[in-house]
Amino acid sequence: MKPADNIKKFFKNAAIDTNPKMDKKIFDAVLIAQEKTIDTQSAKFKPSVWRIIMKSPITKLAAAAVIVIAVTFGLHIIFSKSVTPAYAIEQTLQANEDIKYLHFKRYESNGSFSEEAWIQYDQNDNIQKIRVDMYNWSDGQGDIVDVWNEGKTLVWSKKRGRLDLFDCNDWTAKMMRFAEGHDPKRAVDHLYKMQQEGKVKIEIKEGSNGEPIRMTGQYLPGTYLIGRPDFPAYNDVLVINPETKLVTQIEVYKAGEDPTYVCVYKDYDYQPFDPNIFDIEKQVPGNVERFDDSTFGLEQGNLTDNEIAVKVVREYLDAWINKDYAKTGNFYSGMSSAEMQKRLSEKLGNLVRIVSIGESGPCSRPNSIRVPCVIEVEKDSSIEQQERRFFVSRNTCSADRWVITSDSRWDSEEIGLAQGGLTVNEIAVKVVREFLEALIAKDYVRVAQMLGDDSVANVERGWSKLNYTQIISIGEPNSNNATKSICVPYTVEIEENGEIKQIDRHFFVNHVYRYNDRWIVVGGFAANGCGGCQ
Amino acid sequence: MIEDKLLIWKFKCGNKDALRRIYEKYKNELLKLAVVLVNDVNAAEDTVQDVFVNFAQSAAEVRISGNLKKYLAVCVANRIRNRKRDQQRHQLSGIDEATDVSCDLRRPEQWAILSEQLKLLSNAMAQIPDEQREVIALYMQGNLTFRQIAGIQNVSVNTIQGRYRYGLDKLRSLLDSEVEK
Repeated sequence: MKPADNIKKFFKNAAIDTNPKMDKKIFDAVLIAQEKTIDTQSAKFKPSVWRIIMKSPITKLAAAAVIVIAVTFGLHIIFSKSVTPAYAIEQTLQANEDIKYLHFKRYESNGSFSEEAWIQYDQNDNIQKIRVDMYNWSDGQGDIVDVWNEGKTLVWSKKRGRLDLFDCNDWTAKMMRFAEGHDPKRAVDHLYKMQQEGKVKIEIKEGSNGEPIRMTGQYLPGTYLIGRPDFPAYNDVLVINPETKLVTQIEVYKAGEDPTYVCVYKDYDYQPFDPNIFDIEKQVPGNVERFDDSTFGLEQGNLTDNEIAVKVVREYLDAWINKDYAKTGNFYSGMSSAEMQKRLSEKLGNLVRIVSIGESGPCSRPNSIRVPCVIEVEKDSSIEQQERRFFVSRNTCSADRWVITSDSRWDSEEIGLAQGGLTVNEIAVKVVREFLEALIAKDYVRVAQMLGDDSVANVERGWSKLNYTQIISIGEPNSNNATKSICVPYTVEIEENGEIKQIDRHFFVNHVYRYNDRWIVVGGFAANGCGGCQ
Repeated sequence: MIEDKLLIWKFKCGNKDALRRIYEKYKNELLKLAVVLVNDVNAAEDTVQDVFVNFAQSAAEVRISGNLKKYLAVCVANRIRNRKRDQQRHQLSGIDEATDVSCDLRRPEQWAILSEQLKLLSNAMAQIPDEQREVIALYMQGNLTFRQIAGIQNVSVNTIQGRYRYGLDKLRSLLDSEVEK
């Protein structure tokens, strides 16, 4: 056991180093940022030596007086510049005060319609109701509708055919963040405050003959108007109706030498809309399954975290043995009976018996407890003994209940390879080399791990047909835009009908979030080469 | 401390060497802080790069009298907090934890190289609640006082001390179990 005061030592000894090449690259970017600032900064911001040295009260007073005059003069210049055009941001702030309804749409840079939202405010300007329709949501989840009203959030996943009720603060916070981040009322207010703090440069272009006003906010890196965390800097163009002074459109660009168009929020409408828009219960077809997410999982009662994690897994496995898929779904993050049947019966097989449930404990997945098990599964008329790891955590809508969030045949550390200090191309080649070596050695456990596949038996059935005998070469990897993975071409020697010949193939390699970002083989095998798949 | 004050003064005068020295002096410390706060090397690298870029652009706002290391540490913590807040927006529909998810590709080259001990520490830190993690990281790695952290988290010093104690207990048990493996 490590004593408490050793944690500090642990911190001290946990070393970090940096790649000198990247060091230089990053410092160059920092220098450019400094140079740009120096170019634009007026001399008044630079500290002078006498200001640091002369610290007597009289000098301070005199200095203060000088600063007050300088700042007043400076503000006068800035203010007089900002009021030069007839339009001023304050006019939009004032016009926003009467907004009680808001409706807008979001379009991506490729023109696809991705989001539509309705927000209603109460008399005190507080957000009262929110509806967000997300079209063709990422990860193949299809269209999703979220409605927040009186602290409860309903999520209708059309593709999955389910309606989830989240009666919890977690979801309320998510919905409020969305509304506050996208609402032009708060957006303009935010822009105005940032301008006051000198964090954004605003340019106003007034159109002639009733054309809209275009107000461009150039943000410093790390500051933004609408939720965009991953890029260093953005420009927002707020298009304003010259008559109403209300925002009609917000265009978003990645800043830089050559600004890239990201998306547009448009068709802003402030007129009252049909109140039934928030009543999705009426719109959801009768055959859609309803779930109250706070009921998922098992209550902890007096059990410890480790004990309840084991209990959840045991009851889940019992339900799997009994083919009670509705019950398994209740333990498995509330997946529906049909989804569980597909996952368990069709993909994994029928559970014959629980051989053992090991000791539960913490793991590398945040806020999860790992429960290792050995089970016997029947699939395609054969019985296979499998080790599986279940990851159990608290229900986010009911902290006293515990659910399984995921499970895997392998521990994260066994799947594929970690990137370590390698570049993307280097790790991609390393993954393909290890995969090919496992295939040549007919080590199907490792083949399955390199594929992130649970079933060694299935993998062996599928891959033993390939008689790879020797790696001839592994080519230069290249990224594939369509699959967002790295394509690695290779040449191997194979034995076919007693003949030895060489073939050219390729594998796609990627890192996978659910496996703690380990790199695995995700596809490929066709003869058309990397180029053919792009 | 005196060196830092001189560096800040030179930096405020636009001296590139001073900025280089500040970068060299604190980059590893800040990367380590970011890694233990966010448990994601890519996010940590982005955060620290952003902090330095922002710092380079804000010479006018940096005070000579302040503590440079603490100032930069707070910048890192604030940026990570903002980042998490924004990411939660993207998880708006994320009820399906079990769905297969592939991330976007990483940057071609990694900046930070982590020791095994740091990976262990970072994984353990990821398992304690956000507020407790922030307190422990800022206290142990950022060298902030409890009072200063209380100011950042907008709670009382007692609450911060409580978060520190609970977080430390959890961290100790997690690291013990890792070490025993």
